[in-house]
Amino acid sequence: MRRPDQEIGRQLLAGPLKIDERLLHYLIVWILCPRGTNHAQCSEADLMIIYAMINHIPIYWPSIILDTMLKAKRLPQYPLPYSLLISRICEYKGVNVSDEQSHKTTTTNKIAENSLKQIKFIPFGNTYIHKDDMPSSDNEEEENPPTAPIPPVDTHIGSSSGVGGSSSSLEDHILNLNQRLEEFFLISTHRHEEVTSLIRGLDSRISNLEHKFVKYEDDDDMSQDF
Amino acid sequence: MAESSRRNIPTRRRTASRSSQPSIAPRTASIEGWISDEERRSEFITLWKDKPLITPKFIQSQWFVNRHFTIQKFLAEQGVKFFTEMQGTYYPDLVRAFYFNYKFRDGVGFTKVKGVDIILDDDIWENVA
Repeated sequence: MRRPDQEIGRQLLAGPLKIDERLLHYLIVWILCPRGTNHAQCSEADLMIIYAMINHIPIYWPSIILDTMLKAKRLPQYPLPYSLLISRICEYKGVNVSDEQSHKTTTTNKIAENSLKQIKFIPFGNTYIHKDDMPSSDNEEEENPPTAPIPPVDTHIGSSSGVGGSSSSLEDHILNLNQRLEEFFLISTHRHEEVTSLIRGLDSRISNLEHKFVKYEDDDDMSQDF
Repeated sequence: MAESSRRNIPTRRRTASRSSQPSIAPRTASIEGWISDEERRSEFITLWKDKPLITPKFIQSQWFVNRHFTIQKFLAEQGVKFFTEMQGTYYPDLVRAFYFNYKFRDGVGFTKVKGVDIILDDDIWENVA
């Protein structure tokens, strides 16, 4: 995660995810487990799916799809997901579709430039980067009043007050820069620790889950015996 | 009677042809047989007939490969590459009927669309998704 601190209460937003994870999340909320609203919200289940995908843990998708279908069936406000999949299933099962009203996907349904723009990815060379990671002109770094304490959270949104530092000599300036660099270093290590602890937490939760699953499977075996 | 009529899938054409009849008549004719059917049909008409679908989306992996994304590797690994690339025709009314009749029991999902029973088993996942 780029900014682990960006959390609203218990709700995690997908915005601060790394680029591939963010994209995976986008695919989850639009294709794999589609939902009608809150596409920017990242649930714990989403996080687990992303974690599993990135760590090459095979996911049993049918159960996830069935779960999503059931949710759509039960919640009256839920718009219906998996139109394409269900239409293919109907065709496969021999439902007569010849006289049915039909729609066709077009390029507007394709996840490409526009979708990426929506999640604030911008083209950079021949690939994409997140808008916030764009190497911008250095004004935000240099023009900061050097004495201002850097809050550990919003480092990117440096207040470019413009006047600070203009009277200080070059040496002072360099000294201040050094100091800022050190501070940045501390912040990044701090963040790194946060991220690793988050991942550790996830790790243990998933292993707990796996443990539970193994138990369930055992139970299933037993019930089959009876 | 009740059972067979309940199993009927309320597709558009059927609801349209039925609604032209006076709605009270069938109830007086055979209360037992018709009420659940009538209720279910009106449930479909009021709640399901115009239920919105989530706009289907799809990707073209090559587009992402060309732009140096690595997600297609994860998708292929998970066996959902084909699923995410699905595009083409879809039938909104069939999708609604699918969910209208969708039931989930003992880990198996099943439904019925236009009289065709559909069990969401491994056969489906292997051959469709």
